[in-house]
Amino acid sequence: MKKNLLVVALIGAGMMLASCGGNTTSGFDTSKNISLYSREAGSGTRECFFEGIGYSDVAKEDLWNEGVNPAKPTSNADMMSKIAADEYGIGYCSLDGLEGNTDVKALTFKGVEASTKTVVDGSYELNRNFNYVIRDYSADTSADAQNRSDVAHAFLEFMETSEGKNAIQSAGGILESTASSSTLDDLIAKYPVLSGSETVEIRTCGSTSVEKVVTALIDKFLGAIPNKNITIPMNQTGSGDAVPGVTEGKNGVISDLGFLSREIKDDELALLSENNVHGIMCKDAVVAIVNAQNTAISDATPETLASIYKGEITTWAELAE
Amino acid sequence: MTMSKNKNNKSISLSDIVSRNIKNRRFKDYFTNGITSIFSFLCVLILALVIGYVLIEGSPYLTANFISTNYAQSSVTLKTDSEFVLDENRDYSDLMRYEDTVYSDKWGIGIKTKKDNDQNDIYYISEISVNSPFNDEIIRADDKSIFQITPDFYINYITVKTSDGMYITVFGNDEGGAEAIVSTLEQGIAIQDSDFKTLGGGIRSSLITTVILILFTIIFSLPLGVGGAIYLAYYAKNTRLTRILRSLVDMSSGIPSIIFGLVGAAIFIPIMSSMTGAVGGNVITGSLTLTLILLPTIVKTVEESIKSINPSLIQGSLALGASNFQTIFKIIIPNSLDGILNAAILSIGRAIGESAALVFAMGTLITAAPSLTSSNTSLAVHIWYILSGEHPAYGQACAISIMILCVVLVLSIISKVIPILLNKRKTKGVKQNVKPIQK
Repeated sequence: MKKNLLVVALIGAGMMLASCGGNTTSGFDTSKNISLYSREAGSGTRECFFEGIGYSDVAKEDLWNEGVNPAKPTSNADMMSKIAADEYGIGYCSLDGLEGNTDVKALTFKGVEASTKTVVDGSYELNRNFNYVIRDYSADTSADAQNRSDVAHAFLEFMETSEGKNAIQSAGGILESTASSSTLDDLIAKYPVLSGSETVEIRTCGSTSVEKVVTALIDKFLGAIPNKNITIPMNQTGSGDAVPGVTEGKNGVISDLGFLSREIKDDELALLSENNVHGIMCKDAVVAIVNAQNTAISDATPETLASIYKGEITTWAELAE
Repeated sequence: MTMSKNKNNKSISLSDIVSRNIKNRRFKDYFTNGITSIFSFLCVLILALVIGYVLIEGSPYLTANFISTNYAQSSVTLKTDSEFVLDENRDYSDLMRYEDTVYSDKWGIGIKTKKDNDQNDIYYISEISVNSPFNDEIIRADDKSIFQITPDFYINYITVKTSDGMYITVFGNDEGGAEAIVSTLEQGIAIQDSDFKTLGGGIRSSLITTVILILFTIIFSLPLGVGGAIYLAYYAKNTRLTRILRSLVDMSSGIPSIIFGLVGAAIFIPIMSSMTGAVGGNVITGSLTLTLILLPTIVKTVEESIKSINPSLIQGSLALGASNFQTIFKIIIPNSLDGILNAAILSIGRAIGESAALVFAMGTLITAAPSLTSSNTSLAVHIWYILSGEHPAYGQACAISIMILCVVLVLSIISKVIPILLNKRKTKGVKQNVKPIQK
């Protein structure tokens, strides 16, 4: 009896395991409803996507039309794994993470495929800038503040050097401008704190999307300067925290560098003084994605994407008409 | 009348009733047996699927590199001196010319491919000729010292200066692979800038932290727990207060661990930071919080074990004039050793698996150098960390899960073996002590 049960259990388990692998070959059923995915409110990726397709009502807030209620993955990777698991899903994510992913299909936008080249020449329109903003040190004259100011400004200038640009590029950032003529050696000569032995800590804040690029920059910067007592801890929470983080601070801690995965808004600009230097670090593209099995769509226009998210098109068959 | 009619239509004999009953009962038996088997089969199946998934996904990632490297990468910028120009006529005849290595004949180096902890291809310098500039003319950008590159560093990018003053950059993650790196190198006469990185994404620091965490948790929780158990089982009189106390211990084992984490963060972290100046959670606050979580389990396990000691042993000890103190240390603790060891093993298992409480009480920052006073991660929190980021690493999480599962498996085997071993010793002892009465 026991032996029989064991045999049955083993056969059953084997069949279950075998069936796990092979049931993805079924055809794509266009009569199925489109299941919508969107990032959470406050995401820079979401703002870029909905501004880009001309449906800005939902770019910042969940003001969806009645009957529309997208699932809300909270990161690019989360979005990709959800779309990979849902044959009838549609969503969007940053181009950077998409490389090498065969479970999802990237849609061309107005017939243009997203790539470093098409983003730089401007033909791929669904793109965004990664921006930076620096703290204003003019009010604080202490030696520590002076050191932090020097390190933070050196870091900003480092982003413009060829070494910095290479670091950005190696982490998937897309560059538009060419490198400045100054090199890392020039920076070390310009800012004595970089070759001294002072202990300096500057903190970053803001967008989570920039994390990979900024980590690469920090690794490169700290590895290449002689002063090993300089540290740059990162605390990325979201683009919305960048400007408040470097002005009034969060939980009593004012950060030195803030990063945004979108443009700085007018009301945020009003908070900044002229010493709060800000600018563009690099570019990134946002890509609409569907499951790899999806045969109903391969190119997206802003209008079709908008009507999908407005709830006007609900099935994949309607889309084909 | 009706009786006879019945008898005519349906004659029911005793044997019929019995056989029908037996049939019924057999059917019921089959039914209940079937249901039981199906459900237990489902349980086993789910368990097998989970373990199978973890093993299949995780085993490619579980490499020696993964265990021995830190999570954070370190980066070094290397270049040639500003006056350096590559001499074309260097003798690189000592290179071994392996099949799987791509060689740069101008620079005298060999470049090989390996997998990093994410299973991506990375390229590293595996061989350097004695006459190569890489041997004695490559300097670090930060302190200008000559740097001997080792296979621990992989190529992130290299920018070379060509003979006509142009700069070309090749990235390690470009599609060309080792050939592209070498062909770029061949065009250069000097290395303008480069970035070499150590492998990141490993779990070395989290592994060390986990061991430290377990050690401190045992040090804090076992004496407290055993003491509490001895009080409850030996000293405490059966009053209402004791009963309330005992049921409180029972209840606190049901409190969700995240609430303990909250308490740990609210109480232990401020106390620790006022004592040591540590900012935020650390291993000590983590193990104190785990102690809170584990105490009820330890108290219950050890108390049960003390209760199972033959009372005549304790009474005998007291009757012979031993003090309470002597009785506890000579009789109670040695005889409840299996319970204490079991409690210790349960604690280790919980300490390895606990994550929710430690996220608050110990912090989530994966550090390169684990220390007692800074934020660290245990293996379970490491899983939480690498899955919660922008680029979740499921394979690595599964690899860590395999390690945790193995430890838990070994622990549960040990906890099964210990009582057997101890019982053997006990019975052996009894046999030796009991001498046949001589007539």
